[in-house]
Amino acid sequence: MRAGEYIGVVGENGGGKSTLVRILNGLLKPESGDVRILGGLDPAVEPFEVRKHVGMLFQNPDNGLVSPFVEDDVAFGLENLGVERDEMRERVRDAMRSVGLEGYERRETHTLSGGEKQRVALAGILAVEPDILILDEPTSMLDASGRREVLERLDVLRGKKTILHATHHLEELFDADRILVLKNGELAADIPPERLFSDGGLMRKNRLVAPTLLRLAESLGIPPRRSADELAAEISNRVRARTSG
Amino acid sequence: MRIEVKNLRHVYSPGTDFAFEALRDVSLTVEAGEVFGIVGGTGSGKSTLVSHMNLLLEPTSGEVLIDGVDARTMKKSVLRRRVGLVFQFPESALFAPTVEEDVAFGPERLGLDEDEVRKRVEGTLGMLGVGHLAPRSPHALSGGEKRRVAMAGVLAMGPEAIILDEPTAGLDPATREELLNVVRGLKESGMSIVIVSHDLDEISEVSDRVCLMEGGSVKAAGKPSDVFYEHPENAPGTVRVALAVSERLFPDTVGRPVRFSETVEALERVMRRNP
Ligand SMILES: Nc1ncnc2c1ncn2[C@@H]1O[C@H](COP(=O)(O)OP(=O)(O)OP(=O)(O)O)[C@@H](O)[C@H]1O
Ligand SMILES: [Mg+2]
Repeated sequence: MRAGEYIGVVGENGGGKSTLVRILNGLLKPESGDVRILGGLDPAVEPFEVRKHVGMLFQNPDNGLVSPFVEDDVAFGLENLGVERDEMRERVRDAMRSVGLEGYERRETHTLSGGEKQRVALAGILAVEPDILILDEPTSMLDASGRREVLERLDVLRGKKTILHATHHLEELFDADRILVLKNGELAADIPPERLFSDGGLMRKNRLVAPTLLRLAESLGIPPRRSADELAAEISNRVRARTSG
Repeated sequence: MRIEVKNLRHVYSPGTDFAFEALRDVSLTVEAGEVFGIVGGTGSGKSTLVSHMNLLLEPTSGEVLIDGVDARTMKKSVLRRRVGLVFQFPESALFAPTVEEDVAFGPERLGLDEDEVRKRVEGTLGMLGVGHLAPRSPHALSGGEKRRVAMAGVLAMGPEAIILDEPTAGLDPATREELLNVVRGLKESGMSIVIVSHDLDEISEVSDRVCLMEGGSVKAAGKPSDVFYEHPENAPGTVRVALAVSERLFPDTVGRPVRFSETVEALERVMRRNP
C-alpha cells in the first residue's frame, strides 16, 4: 500500500480480513513474513509506536471502547499521544460533531445502541487523525444516513491519509483505488473496483454480490450507474428516445 | 404466534440524571406466520423494542401480548423458549468450550433426551451452513460464523417466533443470501419472524410488513410498498430508482415495486411499452 491510497478489502466470512487487519497493528504476530509500516516500523516488534500512526476500527464496536464515558473514550487516543488539554478538548468536540454525537459526552458507553457505539469508536480515530486508517466494517451497524456520513468523511480524508477499508457492502468501495479480495487466507485478487464488479466469474468465485444498482442496471441491459438518480435518468432517456422516435 | 405491542413506553434508568425515554407509546402487531421487518435510524429504539418481546426488558408502561396473553403473566423460561431472541452482538452470548456444546446447552436444559438434543444441534447447525464448525471453540470463529452459531442455539430451542436483531451485519453477501433463505424456510414452517436491519434491500426482499422507527416512535408501519414509497429517504435502491423514473416520466408509470425481481419487471415493462 502506498501512502495516500484508498484500498478496499472484501471476501467471504472467515477469509482473513480481520486477521490481516490485526496483524497490521500488531495485535497478532505473523507466523512468517514481514510487515513494515511507514518504511520501517514492524508492528510485531513495536506495536505501540505503530499505533501512534495507525488508527484502527474494530468490527465489533464493543471491542474498541475502553472508557466508561463517551467523551473519555473519544479522547483516549489523544491522551496516549500526550496532546495538550485545550487542543484535546477541541479535537474531541470536532470529532464528535463530525459523527453526529453532540450531547453524548457524559453518556456511559455501555448503555449505547450498536450504531452509537460504532460512531464513538470512529470519533476516537478521527480525533487522532493518524496517517493510516484501518477500518474493519466501519458501517455495519449504521443506518443509511450514518453510512453516507462516514463515506463522505472518508472522502474528505482521501489522498491525505492511507485508508484500508474492509467491508461486505461493495457499493461503499466504488471510489477505492483498488480492492483486495481475500479467500481462504490468500489474496485472490488485487483489482480496481469497476473491473471487479464487472467480472461475474471472479465475483461468484469469491461469493461476492454486486451492489443492487449495478445488478438492476445489468438486468435492464444498461451500463453501470452509481446512483439511483443516474440510473433513473438513463432509463427515462431511453423511454423518451423510443417514444419520440 | 401473534405478538401485540400496546402503548409501549420504556424509560432507561428512570428517576436518575441518566433517565432516557427510549420508547414512547409504541403499538404494533406481528401477525402469526409473517416476517415483520423493523428499520430506523441509529438509536431509534429498535433493539429496545424487540427486547420487550421476550421480556428481556420490562415495559415502563404499556404491554406485550403473546397470543393474547400478557407476557408479564407468563413464566420467563416458557416465554423465552417460545420467543427466541438473537442479539445484535451474539458474541456475548456464546460461552461453551465448543460450538456443539453451546448449541446443545438450551435443549439440554429443556430436559430433552440425548438423541433429540443431538438431532436438534445437527439440524440447526446444518440449516445455517455451519455444521463443520461443531467441534471448534466459539471464540475462535469469525464474526459471521459466530452470528450463525448464536442463531442455531436459539433455533435449537424450537421457538414459535424468532426475533433477529441485525442478523446479517458482518455477513458476506452470499452468506447473507443464505441466511435470508433460512428466514424464508422458517416462515414456511409457520414461524413468526421479526427482523431488525439497516440493510433496506434485504428487509424488502423478505418482509411481509415493515415498521419504520424514529426517535422511539413508530413513524410508519404497513406493507413495504406503502411505507417505502411514502418515506423514500428510508427506502431501498429499487424503490428510489422506480420513484425517480416515475418522477421523470409520468406519475405512477412504474407502479410501486419493492423487491428486486418486481422492480426489474416493472422497469422492463416501462422500457418496452409502446408509445
Ligand atoms: N441502559 C441504557 N441507559 C440509557 N439509555 C439507553 C440504554 N440502553 C439504550 N439506551 C438508549 O436508548 C436509545 C435506543 O436504543 P436502542 O438500542 O433500542 O437503539 P437501536 O434502534 O437498536 O439502535 P441501533 O440501530 O444503533 O442498534 C438509544 O439512544 C440508546 O442510547
Ligand atoms: Mg439495535
